[in-house]
Amino acid sequence: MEQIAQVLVSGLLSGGVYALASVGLALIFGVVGLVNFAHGEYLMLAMYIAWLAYDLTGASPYASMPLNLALMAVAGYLTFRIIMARVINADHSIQMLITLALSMALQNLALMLWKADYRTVRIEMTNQVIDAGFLVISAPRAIAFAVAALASLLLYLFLQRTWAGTAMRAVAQDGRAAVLMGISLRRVYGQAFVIGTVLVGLAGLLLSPIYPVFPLVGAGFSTLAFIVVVLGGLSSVPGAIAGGLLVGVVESLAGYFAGPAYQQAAYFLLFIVVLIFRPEGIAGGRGGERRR
Amino acid sequence: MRKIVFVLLALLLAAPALSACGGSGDSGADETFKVGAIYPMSGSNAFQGQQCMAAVRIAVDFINGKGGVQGRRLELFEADAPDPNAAATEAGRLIDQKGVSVIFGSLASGNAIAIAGVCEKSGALLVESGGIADALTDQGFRCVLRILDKGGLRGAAGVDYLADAVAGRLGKAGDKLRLAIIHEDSSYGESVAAGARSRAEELGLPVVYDASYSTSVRDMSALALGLREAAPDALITVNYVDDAVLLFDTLRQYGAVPKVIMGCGAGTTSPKFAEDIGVDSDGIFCTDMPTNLSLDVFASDEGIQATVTAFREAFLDVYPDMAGGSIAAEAAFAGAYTFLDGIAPSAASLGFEDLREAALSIKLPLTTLGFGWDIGEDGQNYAAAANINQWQGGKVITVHPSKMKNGEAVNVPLPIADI
Repeated sequence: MEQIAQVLVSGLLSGGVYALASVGLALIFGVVGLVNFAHGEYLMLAMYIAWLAYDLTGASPYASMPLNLALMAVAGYLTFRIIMARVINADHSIQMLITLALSMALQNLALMLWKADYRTVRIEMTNQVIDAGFLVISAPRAIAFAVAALASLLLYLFLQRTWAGTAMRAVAQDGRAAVLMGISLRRVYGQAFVIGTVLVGLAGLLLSPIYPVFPLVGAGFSTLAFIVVVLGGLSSVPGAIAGGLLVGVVESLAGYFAGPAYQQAAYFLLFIVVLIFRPEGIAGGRGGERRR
Repeated sequence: MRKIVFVLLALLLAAPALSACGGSGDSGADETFKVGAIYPMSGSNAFQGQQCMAAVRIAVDFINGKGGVQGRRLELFEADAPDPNAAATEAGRLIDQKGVSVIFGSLASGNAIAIAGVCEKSGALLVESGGIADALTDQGFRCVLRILDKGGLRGAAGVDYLADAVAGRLGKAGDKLRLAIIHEDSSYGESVAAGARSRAEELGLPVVYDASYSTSVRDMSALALGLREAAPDALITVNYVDDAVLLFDTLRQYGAVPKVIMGCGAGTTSPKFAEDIGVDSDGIFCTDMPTNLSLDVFASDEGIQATVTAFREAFLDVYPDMAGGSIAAEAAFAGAYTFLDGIAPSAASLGFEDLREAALSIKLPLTTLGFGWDIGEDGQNYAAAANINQWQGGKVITVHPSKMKNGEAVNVPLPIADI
């Protein structure tokens, strides 16, 4: 029983970070209608910023968080202004190709700047655990989970309680009606893109004490984020959070009972089953999968 | 005037064709001998792949410094292969477009098998000094010459050492040592694990935990929990670098570090592993190719001794912070240098069959890796054997076999053992 509890806790801790890495993608898709294949590369970028801060000044990723998030916001804003704003009304296939090209460009930029070497952030906390009775809780994973939960809550409050958040939800529901209500689509799109980029950046910096960073690190997380977002219901932020936690728990249970070799197979299987029986995803509305 | 222009034009057009006439042969005096090198220069194995490429460049420079091979200067074509698909594509490009007849590679077994498939069809040799999967020499490839031991033998060597030299220090009889095996699931990991499993069975050692994982795994807590529950005496593990670090971190966090850890291959022997793990790496064993051997090992051949010294100096020029050496680079150098210096010059020609014939018929008592060259029909070097190394003070110390060792095993059991 203790082992099962441990497996569940480990799964939830991983799931929290998966959720955070995915909510930005869901937000951007929900509001802007853009499938961002470069999503994982922003996670990579944030991991590199965290590593650079650590390497140059010894600052932990938590200490460099404000700088990291500010730089991610700038990166998101510039990407939107220079690239995305120009294709926002273009065909979906063009948008996808643009983000795919951006993904490759960022990977190769990283390769050029920092080479293919693995870079690690080995802070004191990397191997620390929180003693919770019979449970072993990895400190960096616990922090990542707590910050992810807080960020998700803040995002929820922003969407529900602020004018800008309401505007985003309005655009997500019906862009034309939102324009008729006086909402600037371009501004809302830009805000959603920047927030989505900052959120995935936050996930990246929280992951940096746990995983090494290298130019292709984002690709693996990109695939995972797409699975989580589709599971959650494409454009649903609460759905992405639920999807992330579910993937984390399924991965952990499968690893313990069937063996680590089956971890990925387990959540891909879950993905297929959910798509067969509930194609709109966990939190998506019926027919939502065909809305755009 | 028109005639002159016509003749000049004809000569201009014919020149490339005429010069290419000698290309298919292998005896042109001012022609180069084209060789290729394919390593992962990007992606997850780039850290060691780049070192291997540097080592091959050094080998080629050394040979060119000695006048080349059979009077022909070496021309090296490099390719980046982060994965087997890229490896196959690049092998095809180097052979078909650049005209290389020998490829040095490949670090990862998956890449080696992919390259061998292309070489076999195209009539080029693969001198392999990284991939140790059994499948590379068990599939009947005629193009493969592997200078290293193979995975199955390496896994068995790890188990032998644990039973012979470690069990007693844990107060156990050799056949009472409880083993666990955790390995990454590519052909490399599978081969080594299969060898370990099979030898454990032969010796009657109980394997109480046996699990594999994909290198893209993000959470190893299930492995740590399973290992903690099984409570083995020793863990045999096969990994690449980043997953080795993640596994070790997770074992530490979950209080699941066994009394002995025997890493086999790339992951635990990489300097990056010890750099990341820090002092906790002290006492971790790693079965791998010989590395950073004492120059006394080469005392029987002054030429090889001088070459090893020169290589170490040249490699340090490229990687000044790697005074402890790089196993992967030393192997890559050994493969390229031994073939170009000890085999190719004696071949009847630099064509595929003659080079292969020379590689199989020539027996060398010593290479720069400390063992000899004795290639069997399957392309495997049967003079190769893995060493048992151990991390001690941030350095890889060879503790077995006795003729190569430069230190004694320490920290058995591991000071940080939990189970």
